Amino acid sequence: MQTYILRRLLYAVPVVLLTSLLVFGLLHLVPGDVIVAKLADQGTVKPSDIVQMKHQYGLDKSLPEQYGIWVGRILRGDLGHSIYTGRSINASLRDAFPVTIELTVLAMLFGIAIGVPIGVISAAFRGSGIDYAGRVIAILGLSAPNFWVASMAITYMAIWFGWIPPLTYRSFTQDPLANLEQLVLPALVIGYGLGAVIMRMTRSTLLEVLREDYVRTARAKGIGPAAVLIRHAFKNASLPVVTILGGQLAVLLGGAIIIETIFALPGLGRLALEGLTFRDYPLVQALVMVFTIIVIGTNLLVDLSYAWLDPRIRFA
Amino acid sequence: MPDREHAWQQLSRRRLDRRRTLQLAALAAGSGATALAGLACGSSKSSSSGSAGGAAGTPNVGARNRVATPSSAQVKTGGRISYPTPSEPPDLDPRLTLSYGLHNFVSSLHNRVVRTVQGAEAKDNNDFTLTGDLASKWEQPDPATLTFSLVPGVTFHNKPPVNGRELTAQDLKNTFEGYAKSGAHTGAFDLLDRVETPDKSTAKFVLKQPFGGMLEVLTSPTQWVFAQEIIDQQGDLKATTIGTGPFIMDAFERKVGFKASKNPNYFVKGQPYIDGFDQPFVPDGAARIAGFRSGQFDTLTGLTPSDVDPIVKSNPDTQVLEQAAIHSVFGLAMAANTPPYNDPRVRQALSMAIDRNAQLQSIFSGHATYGWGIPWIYFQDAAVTPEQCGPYWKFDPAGAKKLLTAAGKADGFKDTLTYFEYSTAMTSQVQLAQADLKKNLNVDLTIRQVDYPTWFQEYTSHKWTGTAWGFQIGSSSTLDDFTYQNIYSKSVANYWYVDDAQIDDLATKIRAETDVQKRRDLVKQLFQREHDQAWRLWMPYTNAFYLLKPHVRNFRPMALRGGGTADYGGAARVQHWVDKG
Repeated sequence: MQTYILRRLLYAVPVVLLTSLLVFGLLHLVPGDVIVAKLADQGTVKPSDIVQMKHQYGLDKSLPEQYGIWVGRILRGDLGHSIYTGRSINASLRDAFPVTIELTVLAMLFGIAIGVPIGVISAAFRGSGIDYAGRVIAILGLSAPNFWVASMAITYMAIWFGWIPPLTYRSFTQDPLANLEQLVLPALVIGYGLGAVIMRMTRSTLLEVLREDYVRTARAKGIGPAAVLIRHAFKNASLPVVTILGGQLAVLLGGAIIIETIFALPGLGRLALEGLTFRDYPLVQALVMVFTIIVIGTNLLVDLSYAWLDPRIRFA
Repeated sequence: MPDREHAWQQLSRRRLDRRRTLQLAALAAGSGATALAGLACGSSKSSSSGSAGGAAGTPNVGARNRVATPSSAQVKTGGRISYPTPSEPPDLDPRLTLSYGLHNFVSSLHNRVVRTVQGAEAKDNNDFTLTGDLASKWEQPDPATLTFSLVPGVTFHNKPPVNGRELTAQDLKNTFEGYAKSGAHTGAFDLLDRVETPDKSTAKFVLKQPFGGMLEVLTSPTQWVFAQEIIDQQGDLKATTIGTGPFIMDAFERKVGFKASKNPNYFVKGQPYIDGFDQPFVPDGAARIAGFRSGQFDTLTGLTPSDVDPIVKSNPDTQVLEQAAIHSVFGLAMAANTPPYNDPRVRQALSMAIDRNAQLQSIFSGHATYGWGIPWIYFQDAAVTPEQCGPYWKFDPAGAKKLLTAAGKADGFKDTLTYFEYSTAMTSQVQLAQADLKKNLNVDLTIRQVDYPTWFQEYTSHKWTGTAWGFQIGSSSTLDDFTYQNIYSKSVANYWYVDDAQIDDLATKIRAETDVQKRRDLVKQLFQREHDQAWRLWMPYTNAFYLLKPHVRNFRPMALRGGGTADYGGAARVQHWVDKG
């Protein structure tokens, strides 16, 4: 197991390096300039100011040189400073990270809470009205973009109930109840989309497992349908679902950008949007690296969980 | 309970179409000033009236105004107001940015040397009368000198490193010589030579040459007097903002918002009235509207006419104020330094081929200005009429065709139209203009929509070509910006490639002229010349709508200075109060 983990971590290194190269290169290829965006706030942009600021931020160096300086800083744990705000990126990430992690975890919990039961019930009552209802719910979740769902939710809740989640953020440590009140709806919106994916995967893998000989044997031995479903069939059907969760994490993080903006959450997504809008190279580069590491780490955890779910699996 | 059943509520039950709007405007004619004055004084009048309107192309100002529900005769103190804003500033340094994300907050924490009247002080929303802020009086011994006497006993906020010390003339010297030296305000102060301080209560601004606009430059809601100690200790003003103003900053949380509380030592006794305010950063428009509907926010702005109706329907006790635009911020820019746009006949033809009235009615439901660049308050006493814009602003496809033919482009031509979508209404305008030009002149413009950094870089670096949906600097501007910085041929901010010797001459004379009436005459000539040569094809620009909760009092939007929400009117918050009954 340790060898497996070590090997996976070693494989992660070239992935992270390649990602860093890609994001650095692509960002500098995109038209628009952080210096001009920064100077835009001054109303006029003088060429001499652009030259001076480019020199100040090292942007007048060649791209390979800039890349090398940046990688050197990363290896020392220094993510640099945002060119647009001047703020330390480490500090910005420290503030934003907990918000996005909390939102993502809640979204995953909601996704599992929505998707697994509906998937199981749909599979158990296959072909019935309940099954069709479950499938319609899933299709809606898959087809409706989460930013649309979020906008509709926030608009109609305000009109019908005169209530929406607080739009002024409170951290969990400041005020746990207000924090949860604020995060429940956005997490539900993201979780609904994830739940739809989980539901369909759960239903289809469970239907396959329910056709296996050992399940027929268990029924023949007189084991009740609920016990057959949960104790025997579901655990085997859960492996692909766990795989889905790992893969969906990247989708959740991407979706967080829009959802955090709509619900005014000060998370990584909103930070990324600001960075992209203003071509804030150091900030965007740092965020992409953080997202990459999170996705790699989560996928490793997902792979490790297979051994717990299926004792037959051993890591070479 | 007062009778709230008036024209607005009756109207909101029906679709507000053009005919109904004109009918209401006719009904409202003649009582606008009274209604607005009633709001300013917190009186108990209840009316939907506004100033007269209804002529084709003239915005129906006041047709949607709704005076606050009856307020108490006395000002009430206490309470907080929430002013949500879409944008967050990069930092707190007023020297480095003109963004309203910063200035609409810090304007409540600082003072200017002089300012324009605001709120209850003003006779109407377009009153630009000068009044003192930190200055109790001023004199102009010669055209290149301004001497200010400071209000005695003004102190900075009691926070380190300034610790509540008294404001002196040295602070003005540090501030304005600093603005002139580097940063976002160098253009505004390019004619300031130095500030002398003969004593601690007197500041003498010595100019490099006579400049009639200096006083007005000092009223800009982006230039605040700051304390040098902060710069000496921290190197800049990015993290700390300490002023002499009615409010003190309590918190600046990134991506969350600002909080401020009342300054107990404010030099204007009795103000501010509220205990403090919140300014949350809420980038999404639908979220801000939902926040207003649900009662989290007390004010709302940045709305189109079609946004207002549904909000009033769901929240019938909403106060609605409309401030007519006094100039356009956007229009069709043509690269007038290159063919074919260097030929005035081509520019005039394009102007005549675009139906501005159609944009005004179909996109803005009549709630917009027709389209001119220089705020009318600088050269006359009433809004510009379409006729005053000249013959080339009149929609006349046949006349346009003749002009274009005379310019040798009878078959039209192809080009691009670059823009950034500041609003969905703008996209509609761009598309309508494109369609008009294609249909009427066979001028085929391919729309090229770009993102903000790309757009801003091309536009402000003078790298754009063909045509663009260009802008001039918005609400923070002064006469000098409109008549010199944005239009003088050699100015850095002349993004429209205007190059007209007559305009340059007028722009220079306006700068030097200190007599107000003579200056107005010169500005009018510049306005006429610009339209005659069709240098910048200004397009209809939306009126500003302000929605308020019923308990918000004494709110008055002012032309060019906003109302104290997500705009440059933050200083007006000193006059707001809360009355929850």
